[in-house]
Amino acid sequence: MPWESPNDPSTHRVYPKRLPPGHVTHANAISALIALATEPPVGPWPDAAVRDAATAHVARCSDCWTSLARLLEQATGQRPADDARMRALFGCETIQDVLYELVGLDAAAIARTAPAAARHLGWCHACRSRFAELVLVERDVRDAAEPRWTEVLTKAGERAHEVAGRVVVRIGRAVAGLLEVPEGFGVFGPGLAAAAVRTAALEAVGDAPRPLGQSTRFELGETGVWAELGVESADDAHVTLALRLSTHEAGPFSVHIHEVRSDEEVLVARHTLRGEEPVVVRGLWPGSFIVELHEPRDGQCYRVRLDVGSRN
Amino acid sequence: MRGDQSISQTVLRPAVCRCPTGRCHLAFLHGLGHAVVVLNEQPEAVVAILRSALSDRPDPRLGDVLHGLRRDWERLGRRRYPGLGDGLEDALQVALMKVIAPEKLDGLKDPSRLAAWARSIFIHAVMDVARDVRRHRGQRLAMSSEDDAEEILRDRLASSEPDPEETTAGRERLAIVSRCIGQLEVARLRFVEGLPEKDIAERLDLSRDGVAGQLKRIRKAIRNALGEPE
Repeated sequence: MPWESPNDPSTHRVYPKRLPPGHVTHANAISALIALATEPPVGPWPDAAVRDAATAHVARCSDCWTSLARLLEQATGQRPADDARMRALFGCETIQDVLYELVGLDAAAIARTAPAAARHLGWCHACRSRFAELVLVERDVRDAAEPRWTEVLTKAGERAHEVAGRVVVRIGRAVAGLLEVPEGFGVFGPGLAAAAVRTAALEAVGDAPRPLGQSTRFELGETGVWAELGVESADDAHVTLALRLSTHEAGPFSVHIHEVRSDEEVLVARHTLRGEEPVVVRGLWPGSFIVELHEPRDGQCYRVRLDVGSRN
Repeated sequence: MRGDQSISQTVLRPAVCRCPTGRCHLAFLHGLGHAVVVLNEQPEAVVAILRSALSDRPDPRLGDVLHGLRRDWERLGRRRYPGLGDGLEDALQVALMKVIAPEKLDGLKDPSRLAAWARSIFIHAVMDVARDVRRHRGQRLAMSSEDDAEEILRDRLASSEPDPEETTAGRERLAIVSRCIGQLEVARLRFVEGLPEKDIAERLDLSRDGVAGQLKRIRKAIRNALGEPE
């Protein structure tokens, strides 16, 4: 188990980078507990140092204590006798109820207005994680913009909802990336959660702009159905698109990809999108495209413009 | 409390929100900029609507308010926690039950913070579900972002030394956790690995009596769980 590695921000939002080697994340602690309790073992058998580190973490983390208590309950048929005592010793519930009040405050204000919460947050891993998440969520909510869908008439004479802006994909040697997305589209890198995007500003890295991410997530109008569009390099000159819906009960949608050529839109691919099963379109070449999602039941059509460009 | 008596008669009508116009007074419900309700009323009235949920006659607008909250949370959840999967629905249900719970509503001191308060209830529900998903699947749940959370905390939390009471509580927690992890480990070595008590004691650096005592407690718990007489 890689205890010496930096903490994994995907599971332990509090200590991603700058903590001393050996610091234990929630994921590390849970992995150690599961390794102790499962058959076949998940991960390597924890040695004494790992066990001690996990023990120290759980003693300061009510979330991981809950996991340990449930594992014990499964193993022995009873909640640990000390469960209620532990909850009282942690005292997280009253703190968690007031965390939202602290989100906009600085350190001095928190210490002044909520000294008990400030002290609690000094040691409790669970509440620190939750507080950090609340801060990030409120920032996300504040910064989030909405995609702007307008009704257009397609070349084929159909009414459709088209989003303002476009998705711009760069084809790279090793990896394709999104250079631009419409306002309000969330952007993801590999294994990353969404970052709110108000405008898709580019950051230059050397001569080439740095991609925003590898996939983008957006709601189709105001349907409550979300779609995710991901890109991968196929080779130096082509890109692979993966499109899926984020709700398994949604669909089916008919996906049409048109290439925009001077004054016409030419259908180059057609698939059916059901539930969360992705549709993969391989070998898309540099050019301008329109991704259309048709909802056959109510006749609605949603269009996203897509530009594919090579590195050079 | 009778919600219908405490709320002034206002109009609540389903509509697509046009928040940027500033006409909508439910901005605090929108979260990501959308809601399905328009309420020409103050946040205090919405709190009263929520409070009416457990009364004899819930406010007729309660469904619209909860629908608005749910829609905003779902939107936030789908965008921010794609790895949660079906767990999102669990979190939504838990959070909706909590926002109408009197003990939670009592904790809302400033009604103008209703949106942030309600969102925090949803986020706590998400993190509870995430914890359970991680435990069941033994895998990590992608809930990360590029933001450096530690930096956020460093800006907001001054370092403080625990007081004597906290130090004592910390020692007690550590002792309880050590005992529980020891139990788990002893149970595994005995019932999964099949090691004799002597080998378990050697491997865990415990006395044989200590191992025997733990196994006795575990067997007793299992017997109780199976309903067998002791």
